[in-house]
Amino acid sequence: MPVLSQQRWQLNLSCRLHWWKDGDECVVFNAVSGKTHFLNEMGAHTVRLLTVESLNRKELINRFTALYEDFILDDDVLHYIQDMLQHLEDQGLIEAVSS
Amino acid sequence: MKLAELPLIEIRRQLRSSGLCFQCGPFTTRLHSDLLEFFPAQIHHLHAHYPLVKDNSFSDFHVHLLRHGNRWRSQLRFWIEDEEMPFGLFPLDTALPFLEWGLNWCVATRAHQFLMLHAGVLEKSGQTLLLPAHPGSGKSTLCAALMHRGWRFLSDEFALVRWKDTAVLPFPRPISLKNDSIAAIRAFAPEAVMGPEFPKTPKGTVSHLRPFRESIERSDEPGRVRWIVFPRFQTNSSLRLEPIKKAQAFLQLTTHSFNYGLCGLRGFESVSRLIDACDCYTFEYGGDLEQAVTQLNALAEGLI
Repeated sequence: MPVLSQQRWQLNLSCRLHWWKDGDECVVFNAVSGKTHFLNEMGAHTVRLLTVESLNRKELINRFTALYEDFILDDDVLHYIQDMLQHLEDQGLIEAVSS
Repeated sequence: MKLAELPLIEIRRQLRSSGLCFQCGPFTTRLHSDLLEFFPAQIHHLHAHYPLVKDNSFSDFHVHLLRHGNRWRSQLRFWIEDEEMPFGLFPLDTALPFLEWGLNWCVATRAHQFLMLHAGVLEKSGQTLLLPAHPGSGKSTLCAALMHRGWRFLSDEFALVRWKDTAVLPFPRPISLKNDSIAAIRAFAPEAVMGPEFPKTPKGTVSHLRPFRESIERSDEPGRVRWIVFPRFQTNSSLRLEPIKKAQAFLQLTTHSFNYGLCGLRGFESVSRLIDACDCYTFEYGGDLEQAVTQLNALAEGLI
């Protein structure tokens, strides 16, 4: 089992998001930045989960395990999640918070 | 009264006095010029079907195409009342292309009462096809070909999307054909009414195709978009019309907008409604225009 940091994430509180959805994919418009973002299924779930409460990676992974029947955590998946969180933060959609 | 009904002598008089005022789609243009030799005849020929507007009417764009320099080295400049010049000076004999580009500039920088997309717009059986494309994608060539095979032509350069209902307003300006596409359309539709060829412009050789009279007479009938097709001309490629995911089409469409970035949430909501109402495709085509039209006809007839 990979070691997970305790860093917590939440929705960037300065965002005002508007959603458009087609199947598993979403396009999100941030009315504050004026930017439009594409989110795949996991990205969209992450942003929605972090809208409700702040989560660390372990808690986020627990949510994914409940959401996806075929979810298996390995190093590749963990890297994917880390990259995704970094990307969402770079886009200004989520932010790291102190534990 | 239409521009074609105006004698050349009267066109010249209006150009150099109060301005030649005509309607195209939702915009009225008042054109002033002191270029009175060949230019009035070009306007008369290419803009023949546009309705004239009364002299004292409101005009959206007051544009001036005026000589600059001396008798030995005269050039033209394009300017808009109370505004900066969008281009540098250009040769006298390229007045028409620069007028068209200048009018594009007027619309793209001012008409924010619409969501503006860089797209061709055509209609078949009451359903509208949007062809958003970057320059060089073969959009104008496809527009010209479809118009000559029974599609109603609404626009070549701008899809003007109305905010309240995402209907697209017709803006049937002359279709600007460039380089090889000029000969391609002459061969495809020998009856096409075209203006002169202008070699050595910044976009190569340019010639303008006159829209059909019916397109202009139906300028008050907006289109309802049913298909969004992103065309791409590729020499010698085989024909490929492929559905794309709507999220991909959404993002792609925003890159073809002149003012999406300025419109905020209203732009996002309009694009959302457009995409919801449409099937979205990419369309790669090679040299065979007849085959390309057949494929898009099949799409319109529900055979794809």
